[in-house]
Amino acid sequence: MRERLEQLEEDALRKLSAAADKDIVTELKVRYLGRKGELTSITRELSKLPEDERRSLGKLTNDIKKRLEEKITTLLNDFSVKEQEDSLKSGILDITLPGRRPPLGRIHPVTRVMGEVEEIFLGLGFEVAEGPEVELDYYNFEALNIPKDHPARDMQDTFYIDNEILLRTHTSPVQIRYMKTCRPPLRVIAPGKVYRRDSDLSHTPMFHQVEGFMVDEGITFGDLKGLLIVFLQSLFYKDIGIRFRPSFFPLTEPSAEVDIRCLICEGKGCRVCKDSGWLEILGAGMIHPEVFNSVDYDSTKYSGFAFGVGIERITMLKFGIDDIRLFFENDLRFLEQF
Amino acid sequence: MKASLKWLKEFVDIDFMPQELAESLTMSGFEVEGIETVGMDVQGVQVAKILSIDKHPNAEKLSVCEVTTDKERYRIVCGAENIGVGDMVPLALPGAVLPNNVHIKKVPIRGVESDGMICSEAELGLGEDSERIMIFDADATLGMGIHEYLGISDSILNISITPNRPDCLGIIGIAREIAAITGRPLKKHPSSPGSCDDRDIAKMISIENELPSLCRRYTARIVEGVTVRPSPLWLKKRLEMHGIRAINNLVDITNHVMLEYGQPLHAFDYDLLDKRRIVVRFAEDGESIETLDGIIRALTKEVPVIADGAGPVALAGIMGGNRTEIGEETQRVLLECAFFDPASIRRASRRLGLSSESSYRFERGVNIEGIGPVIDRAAEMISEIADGRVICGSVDVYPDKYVPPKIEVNTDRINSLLGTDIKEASIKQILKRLGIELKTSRKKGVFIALPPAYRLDIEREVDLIEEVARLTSYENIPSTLPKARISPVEKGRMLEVNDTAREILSDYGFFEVINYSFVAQSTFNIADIDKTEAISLLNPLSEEQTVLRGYLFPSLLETLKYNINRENRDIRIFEIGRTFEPDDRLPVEREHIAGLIYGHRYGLSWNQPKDQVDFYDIKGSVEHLLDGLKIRNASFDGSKDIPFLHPGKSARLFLDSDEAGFIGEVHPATLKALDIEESAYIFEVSADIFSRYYMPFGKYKAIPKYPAIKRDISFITDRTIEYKKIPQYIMSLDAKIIEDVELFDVYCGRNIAEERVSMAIRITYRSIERTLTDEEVSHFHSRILRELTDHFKIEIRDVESNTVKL
Ligand SMILES: [Zn+2]
Repeated sequence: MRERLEQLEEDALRKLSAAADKDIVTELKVRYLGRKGELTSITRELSKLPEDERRSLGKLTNDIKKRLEEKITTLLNDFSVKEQEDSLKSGILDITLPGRRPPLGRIHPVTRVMGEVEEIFLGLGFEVAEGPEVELDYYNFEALNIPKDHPARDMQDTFYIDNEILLRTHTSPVQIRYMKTCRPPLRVIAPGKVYRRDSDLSHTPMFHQVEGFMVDEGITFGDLKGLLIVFLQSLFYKDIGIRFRPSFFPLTEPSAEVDIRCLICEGKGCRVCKDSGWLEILGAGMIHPEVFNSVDYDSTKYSGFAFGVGIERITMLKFGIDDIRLFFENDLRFLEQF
Repeated sequence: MKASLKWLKEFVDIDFMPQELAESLTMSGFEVEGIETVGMDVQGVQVAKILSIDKHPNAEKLSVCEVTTDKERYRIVCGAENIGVGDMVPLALPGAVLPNNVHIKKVPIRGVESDGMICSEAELGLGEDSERIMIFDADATLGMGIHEYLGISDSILNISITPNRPDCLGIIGIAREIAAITGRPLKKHPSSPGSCDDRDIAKMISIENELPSLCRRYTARIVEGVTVRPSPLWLKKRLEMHGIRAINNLVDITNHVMLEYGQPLHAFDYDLLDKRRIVVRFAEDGESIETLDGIIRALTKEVPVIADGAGPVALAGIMGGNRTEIGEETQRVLLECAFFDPASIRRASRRLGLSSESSYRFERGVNIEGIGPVIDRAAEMISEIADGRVICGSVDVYPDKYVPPKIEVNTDRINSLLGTDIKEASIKQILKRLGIELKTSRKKGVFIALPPAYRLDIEREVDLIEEVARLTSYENIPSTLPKARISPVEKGRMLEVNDTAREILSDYGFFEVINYSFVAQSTFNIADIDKTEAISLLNPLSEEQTVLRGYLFPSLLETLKYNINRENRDIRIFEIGRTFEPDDRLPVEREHIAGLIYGHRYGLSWNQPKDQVDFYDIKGSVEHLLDGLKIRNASFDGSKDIPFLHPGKSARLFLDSDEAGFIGEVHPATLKALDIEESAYIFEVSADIFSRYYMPFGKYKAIPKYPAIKRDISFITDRTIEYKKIPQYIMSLDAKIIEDVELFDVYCGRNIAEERVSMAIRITYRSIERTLTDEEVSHFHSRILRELTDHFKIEIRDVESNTVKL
């Protein structure tokens, strides 16, 4: 029996040492140490032996089992280290091949900039209001102090559906609709599409505008300046040069045109700013008493300001786009850049 | 409005650079859009004197002259015959550039070297005469550049005049504004009454004004013995610089005076006026007039005209007629200078589709009080330039004299609107500088302002506040931040839905596009809406943009085509915008979200399948969108009747029972009509309805505590049975322990009968109260198998139990 055990250990150790891979070791483990393994069956035979023989042989069996287990663990460990090393050596990829990407999508640059403008004003406590794109002449012109047969109508070439119905030329009619239903104090922006009968490098028959207005007691022209400076600094950058100059819009008085320092030449003069060093960015002014009349506000009690900003123009300046028509051609090679 | 700096300087001292002038005009409300330097198209041409003239040795018609600029002598070959020794002439030497980019070089002419060229008016671009050399006065300075000598070197400011300031549609008006800005005095023209013929003008012409409220003033003067001929060079040049073509001296004078004063004038040939009568009246129906542009215009009784005894001779305030036009035979001239009601002229001009320099000014408003000096100035110029003899006085029909509005001005109100602290004295000083007359008022803190007649825009206090702000300079008004009460802000559900949908779709590989709201009729028709439903523009810009959209997807198909034509192949696009449907008065506007996919699912890639998109891609996109918006209760119902979609590959989307849109493959016939070769899939849904179901903050559901047991079923069924009924049915059996039914395989083809389809589903069992046992799940699962077999006549393929403990 002792010889058998010693022979078994010798065989097992020899075979284990010769084992070429992990699988053979595992196989040998089962063969010698498994439930039906050789060593296990010898252990079973031990119970038939007398007490003292059983004890000494039992110890030997256990020792052999321990040694074999140690050997197997070491071998398995070695093989697994080697396996890992081999896999690291063989699993080298060409990392310059392009990655697997989900399809690319983008938000239109005009909507992105519009969203940016909305966020700034929401942050300043302005509400968002909307109105119809097809409007009555009354809301688009007359209530805004632009009567029929007034030359100011030339400033906005209009698409008509019939004599009284038109495509809004600005989002200012929302001002009237809103003020007709709400009382001051109010702070509102009205974003949306507007339409003018015009088409060239810098005009499309449809474009986007955000109109804003604020009405309360004691609102001043200085407030208008202050608020628009905050807006333009947030939209562009903090130190941007800004100037206010007189202009004319029938719905406001005093009216102002607001310019920023040219983003391209920084004021030295270039093609984009027509050598003036400034870029027209928005129109604004104190709401005209006639407009307050249209909505039954007491213009001796309330004052307010309104402003309108063209989104395409800002988008063009931000991204250096020189042809406004690109926005509505929707060529994917254009859209994927934003 | 173009304004010559030299001309402005006749009325106000300007001793700073044109750029500085432009800057201060811009900052006071007169945007200078550009400064043009004129006279520079002739470069390097100097005044020279002819010292000798000899015959050309080889050419009969040429001569060889010796000329000097006082510094050097030059030999010039010349073909003109009008020159003599001692004449002062324009000399172009090598390096000089003439109009039309003619570069002067030293060249031999028939064997004699010519050092340069002496020039005619035409060669210098100064006139028509190309036969004769231009000859200057004998006192011209030798060697001086000719544009300097002729005074054609000038800066032209291109000023944008806002519609409220017609008083600045003339040089004097702009000069007056410069005077107000700079605080310098406005210089008046030296009045030279000259001699006049003291016959009674009232006996020479009768003026009847039938429209006193439309024609508030009509003034006429007569000048006799005129010679009609081309204007002198300076006058022609001046008009040309201001964008007006020279015609003859009389017409040019009226235009010159108009540019100077901003007041249009008209000159009639007095001898052609029938019965020596002028009648201001409306045209009669059936009357017509041939206007100066050669067009015969039929008139209606809304059009105000100037008529003589025989009929209309001018469209009041817009354009004169051919019958009484000034021509070479004209000897006596009747000058007209008037004030017409702005709105009436604008209406007439629009009705006739005819506008002119004259109507442009009248419809904005001219200076009713300024008419006297204007017509005098014109008469004076005619006597000077066209040898005329002026008849003394004028006929002036001006029944209701101008009365300025009396405007109360309150210093406090000015300061409280502007946010300033300007002293009353400063305000008064500003207003006076603008020619506004001030009076005291009995009311405390208030004074009265009376604007001059040329400032038609000043009607009320706020107009004066603007003037104070303007001349104070906006830059000097301190910026403040408005005091505002803190209040809640809401963006509105609709905008939120739109913004969220944009995020979801763009993250999902869609490009946002923006198309015009108006489309071609043919594009509109793609959606196959009743054609009477189209809302058309009265005045579209092009055939491509005539009707408002009823749906968005036809525009997406156009965008698809546009991109295919530009070789952009794999396309996923979406648009969010309004659609329009006719209604009582204003159309109904609905916000839609539409999407389109076309081409490969993954584009061209080495490590992704090269499959084409199909119906389930568009359905998945909408499901993904619904999921992102947390919209539950959505269902798709197969539909065969959406005309622009494939009948077997389309569906309507319902949110509860609200129809919210459709998805599907575009009908092959529609694609064919657009020349699109492969299948395109679209969806279009209502953002309005979405916003009603949009649940940004649905209630949280606890994560299950107990493990789930999953079992798969693989079966074969008839194709006619809609899949969605199977999970619905299973859930209906016992919703308590069935958590989910997922479809993970669909197969038809080999080994499956034609009308049958094989599917595999996985059912997740879980209780929220306890751990389910294998036995009870098995028991229940067998029941499901039985029920499915009975109910749907499915054929179970094999039952593979799959227990995953979570
Ligand atoms: Zn620039």
